[in-house]
Amino acid sequence: MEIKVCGPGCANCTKAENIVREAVAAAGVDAEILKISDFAEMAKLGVLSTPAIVINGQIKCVGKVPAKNEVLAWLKEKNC
Amino acid sequence: MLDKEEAMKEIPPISCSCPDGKSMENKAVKPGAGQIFYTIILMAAGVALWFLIYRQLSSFSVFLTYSVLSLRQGSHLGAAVSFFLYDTPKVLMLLGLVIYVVGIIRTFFTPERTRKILAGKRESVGNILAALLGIVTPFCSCSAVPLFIGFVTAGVPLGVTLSFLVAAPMVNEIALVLLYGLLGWKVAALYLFTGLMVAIVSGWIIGRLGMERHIEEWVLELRTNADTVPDNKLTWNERLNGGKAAVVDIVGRVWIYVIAGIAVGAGIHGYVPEGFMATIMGKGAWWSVPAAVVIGIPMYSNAAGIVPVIHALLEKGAALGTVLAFMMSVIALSLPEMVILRKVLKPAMIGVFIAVVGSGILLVGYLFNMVI
Repeated sequence: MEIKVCGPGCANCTKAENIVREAVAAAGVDAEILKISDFAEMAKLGVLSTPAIVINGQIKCVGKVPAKNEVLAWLKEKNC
Repeated sequence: MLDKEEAMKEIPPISCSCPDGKSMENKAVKPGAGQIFYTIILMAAGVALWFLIYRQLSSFSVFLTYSVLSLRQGSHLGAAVSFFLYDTPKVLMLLGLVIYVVGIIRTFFTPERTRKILAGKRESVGNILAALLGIVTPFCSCSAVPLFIGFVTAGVPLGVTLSFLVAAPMVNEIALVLLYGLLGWKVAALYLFTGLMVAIVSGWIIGRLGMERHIEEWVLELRTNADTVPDNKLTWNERLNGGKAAVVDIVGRVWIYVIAGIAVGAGIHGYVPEGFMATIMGKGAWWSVPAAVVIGIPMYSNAAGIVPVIHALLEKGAALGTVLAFMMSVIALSLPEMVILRKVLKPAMIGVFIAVVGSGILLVGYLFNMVI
């Protein structure tokens, strides 16, 4: 599984990345977490506002820091 | 495939708008008719209580200042303290209510949906729509660049994109609430109307100037698709939670600015002599409008901090046009945002952007000083 956290590096983006890391650790899934701070790449992914979470190319969340529960739910969905 | 769909049904809240974390727990419960009724009753009671408290704030602040703290009537300190004790709860209450309502409205709008609406629109109509959507689309200045790229590369005209980028920070709900609460509905309405006009006209002019070649090349090489609008079907419960999350988030962030602004305003209210501002910020001083705009650009504050200061300045004889120009310049033309936008716009374009929007604000300032 490939998880991309998009954000130029503001406080909220760092928070989002930490939450994703925590959730991945808690779920015990094998995932590669990438921090995307390049605007061109964000645009290609279709992200318009940050922070955004993209899992396996699918946008899960834009413009908000997700809750850990939400991230866990996305991880579970992919495992099924 | 079937398995996946089963899983999707089991975990439906995969909405891309990411409501707050707490909504997760509520989603499994389908609200019945009884629960909806209960919610409505609760909200009505809340609104009634809100108005009851709101009406008492003025007498309560007077009571606190002159009876509890026993400050002397008519003293500088007494005037400053009662101003502070009246404005702080009043502004925070207004903010809470309006941000809640706007937070719910915003769950219906996402930047993606706004882009879909604007893509391929003709310029004039597009500029107007963009400015209006700028009010209700959730937007933070950290996202100015990805949003700019996303808009322009999906076929939203440059001028229309800039109308959106001017209107989004300038005409926001916090500015309007504070202006309404502290200066009355007429000033708030004037601000709304002229702010929209500046955004619409500036974007339109920049569109006419054909500045597309002043966008960085790597942006123009990208192509994105406006049709990828993520699905956000939310239940009413989730929308209400979205409103709640907005209140917690925004009030949590701005309360300190509000209180600081009100404290400065209270100081001016209590200690600066009546009519003092008339000489430097009054109608007679023609240079005060451009000075207000220029001073406002490097200043970075949000509406929450600036309005209480403006309130106090006006009281002491500053002219409305000068003060509105100052406020627009502070919140619409900010240096940090220009630095961020520099990543996608060439210096010439940034210069034109500041010049056009600045002139618009200048015009607004002079117009009001002349009319009122």
